[in-house]
Amino acid sequence: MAYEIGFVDNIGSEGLAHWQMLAKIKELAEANGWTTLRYLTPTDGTNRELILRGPGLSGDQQIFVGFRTYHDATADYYNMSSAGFTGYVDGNTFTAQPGYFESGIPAHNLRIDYWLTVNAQCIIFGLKVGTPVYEHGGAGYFLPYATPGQYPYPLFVGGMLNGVPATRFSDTSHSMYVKGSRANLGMRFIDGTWKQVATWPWNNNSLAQTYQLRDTNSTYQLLPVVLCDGSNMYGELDGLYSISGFGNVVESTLTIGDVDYVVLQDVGRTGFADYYALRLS
Amino acid sequence: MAFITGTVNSFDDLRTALLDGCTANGWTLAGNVLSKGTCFVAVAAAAADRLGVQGGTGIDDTNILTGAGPRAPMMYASQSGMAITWPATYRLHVLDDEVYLVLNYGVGFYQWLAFGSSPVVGLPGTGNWYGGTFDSVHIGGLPYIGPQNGGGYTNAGTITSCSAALFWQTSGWSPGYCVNSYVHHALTDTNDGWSGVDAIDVGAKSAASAIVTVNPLMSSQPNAFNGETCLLPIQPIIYVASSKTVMVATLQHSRYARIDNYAPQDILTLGEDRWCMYPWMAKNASARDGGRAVAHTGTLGWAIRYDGP
Repeated sequence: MAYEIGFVDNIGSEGLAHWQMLAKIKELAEANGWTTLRYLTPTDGTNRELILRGPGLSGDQQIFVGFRTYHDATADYYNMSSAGFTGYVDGNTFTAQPGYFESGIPAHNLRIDYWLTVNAQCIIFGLKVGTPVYEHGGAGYFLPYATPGQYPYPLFVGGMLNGVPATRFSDTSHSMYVKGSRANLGMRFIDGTWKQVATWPWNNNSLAQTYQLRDTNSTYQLLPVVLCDGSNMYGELDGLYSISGFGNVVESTLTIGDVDYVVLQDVGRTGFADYYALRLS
Repeated sequence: MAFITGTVNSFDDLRTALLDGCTANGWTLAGNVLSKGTCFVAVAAAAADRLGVQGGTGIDDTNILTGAGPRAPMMYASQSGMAITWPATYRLHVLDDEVYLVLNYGVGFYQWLAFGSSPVVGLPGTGNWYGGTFDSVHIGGLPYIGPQNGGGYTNAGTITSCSAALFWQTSGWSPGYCVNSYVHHALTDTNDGWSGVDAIDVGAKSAASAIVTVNPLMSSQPNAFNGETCLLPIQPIIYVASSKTVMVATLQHSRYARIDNYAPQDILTLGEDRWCMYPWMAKNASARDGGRAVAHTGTLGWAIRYDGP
């Protein structure tokens, strides 16, 4: 996956850090095969919108995702969101796009440090904001355990919030989508509905609940993040892996083979099952 | 990698087939010990009613296994309800550093022995592992297996059962535990670095278990939405202090599988990989979750990488 590590702030070309972050997503996505269908950049404080179409790993897909900013200066929140669609209608609003699903991501108007990864089928990022806490978003195809005929549009949307509420980064109740079984992870099912699915290993009692996996003699085992429910295993997220928090710290890096990863945490949580590793190459 | 099949009339014949198949495919035999790299496995002369394997970490000057694991899991011919009848068909998969021997008899019954070396990166031990359908100490008893649990033993009640599956240990009853799978991790000195023969969550002497890592996924299979069976990795863990677990092995050539939609020995092709589907002991689609002391293992099974025709 192509990736970029950096920071945005309020002295860039866009004026506010979360606006600048939206521009960064657009820039790296376009450099990796995505087509921008809409990019609205009002300066009056109304929402900025980015809608993209990706070619997928096969090169012949049409994957519709979106990201936008929403904020309220009087309430001091400056948020972003991830969204997914099943098509694009130029005359429709963001929320009226076909098959719309969206999850908000608390961000900031001042400095945001970011880890942004993009390939032809998905866009995933982690943000460090405020105190700091770590916020996460992503959208695109996951890797389905099914043929294209069985699961033709395996789209997921991940954020931090249920919809796009006025929630500031300092809120202590929100949690990352990667853990599953929450409204801020949506998986578009073959019947056209958005399912709220669990994720393995976070639903496993011996790896992430009563007992938690730790390192093997200082070596950390990465586990895929599997989207599942009581009757199905749907597939796994692309480029994200569970990693133990035992003896670990946010922003650690590791290399397996020739592939680098960065470790990110769930908001301000530092428990043994509060981390994931983001693939950087 | 090789796949060899044939008919045998005794455990002696089966042992010969195992040794011949391994030595023809990269393993060395000295005395009763097969070895390859850091993996050592004793295949003792067969008795009329049993054939077992015991892993170790070396061999001495007299070709005796050293650093032996706790017990010698085995195939067992005399278990009421699943007694072996000869002749039987064996299916031997010799796959790099892993060996899987499956015996098919009485049309629908299966027993197995397996061993190999499959350490996770960072493991201080060899990662040698081995297992069989039955425990060598608590012999006999029909299997106790479910999608999320299995194994156990008591001589006071009605349960005298192994899981009949590889690294499927979750349960145990006093005064002993029926354990049929072991891995050499060397994370502790207990059992000379081998996983133990007790319940899975009692610290250094814990048995290793892989089924606990794939819960609740096993219960969700096969997929309701497309009928496909997802193969689940066999990655045994041990339980250590402070409610933590450590992964100690990752088997390269076998996977857990629900075989509702497969007949035993069906071949599943996934990309360039082919997998042979087996029940742990006997498929029973009408009681797919297995049970306690029953002569079948429901639709719980495994897939072994297949290199045959």
